[in-house]
Amino acid sequence: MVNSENYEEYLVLHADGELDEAETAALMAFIAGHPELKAELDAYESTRLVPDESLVFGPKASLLKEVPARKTISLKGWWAYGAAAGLLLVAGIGILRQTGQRTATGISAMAAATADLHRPEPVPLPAVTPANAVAQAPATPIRKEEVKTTTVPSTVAPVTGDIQLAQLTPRPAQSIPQPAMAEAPSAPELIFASAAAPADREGDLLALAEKKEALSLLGDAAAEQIDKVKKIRNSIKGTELAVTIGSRELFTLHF
Amino acid sequence: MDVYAYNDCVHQWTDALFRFACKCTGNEEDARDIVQNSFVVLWEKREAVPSEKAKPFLFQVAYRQSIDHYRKRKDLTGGELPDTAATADGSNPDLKKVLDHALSKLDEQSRALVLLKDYEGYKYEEIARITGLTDAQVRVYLHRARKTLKSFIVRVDNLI
Repeated sequence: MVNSENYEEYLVLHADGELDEAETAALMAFIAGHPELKAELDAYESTRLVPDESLVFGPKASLLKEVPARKTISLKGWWAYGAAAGLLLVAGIGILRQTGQRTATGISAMAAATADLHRPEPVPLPAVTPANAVAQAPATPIRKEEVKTTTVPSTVAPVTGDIQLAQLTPRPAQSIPQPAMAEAPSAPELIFASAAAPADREGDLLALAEKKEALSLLGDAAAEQIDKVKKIRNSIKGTELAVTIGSRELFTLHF
Repeated sequence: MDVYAYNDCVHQWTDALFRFACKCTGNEEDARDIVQNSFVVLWEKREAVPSEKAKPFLFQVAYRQSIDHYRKRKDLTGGELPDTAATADGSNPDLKKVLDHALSKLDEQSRALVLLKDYEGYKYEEIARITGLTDAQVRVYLHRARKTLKSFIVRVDNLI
């Protein structure tokens, strides 16, 4: 609140630019109510100094410091490397998907064909006698070793390693009931992975080989890109990149 | 602050610092020395001074050097400050000359406070930080200086 006791304080604060809008308005209202104080207001406002813009230091070279030499970093190479890396990545993904499909096809065929072999519930096995072995001979040929081992009854369970092995090999043959065998595809790949048909195994191997080759290609491409990046990094180490607009520097990157 | 920010400060604040030092010392050569010394100190302390604090730092150094300069001159000449040169603004040359004369009659501290307030637009708190005075001291010294300048103008107006 401006009054006749504190108005001069307000006049000085006003000359110093320290009054806010409300305080300035209050002061002006007081002065309006006391016109004899207008001259004093003008006198205080006249005490504000105005800088003399013609007073200048002159050339400032003696004050400036030398800046380190800057290299111009071309970004064109970066775009090329990025594009090359992107193309290789897309090609690699395409190759992987193709080999993945082939492998999946082979695996799904094997899985379907061997589904019966992996039934959770045990299948009752008929006692196998030589007579049975001959009578139950499947339509598809069975290898000699398997014929031999079928003579061992499945109920007998000796503990020796040889016999165990002998028992293991015939299990697939013994566990296959005739109807399951009849329903199986004609290709003789149903018994065990080791007994899989040569054609599919070859296809799987081919798929794996292609997959390996694709991964190897990707690895080589990645290594090449890494080398290039390392070379670029070494070349720009210790340099600085300044971003300017006209003559005004915005910021500087130090590498 | 790196070398680029330092050079930016040179371009931005040299002339303002020079004008401040000129009005404080009343001598352009002394003012030039003060400006150069201020930037030498800024360069030496650049690691500790962020870019946004460079201007008040420069004026702080210039203020202390101006006070030291005044005290040395006071021992030699008695402390009277010569009138500064006329301003280029011809709209009211008499008033400006009167103000310059009045400014030269203030003590070195009051003169610096008025210059920091009117030339650079610093608030009381900022002036306190630059000069090492308290807010209350800045307010009191500035008020006294303002009243002195006003009484000079009124007296001259009365004579005119």
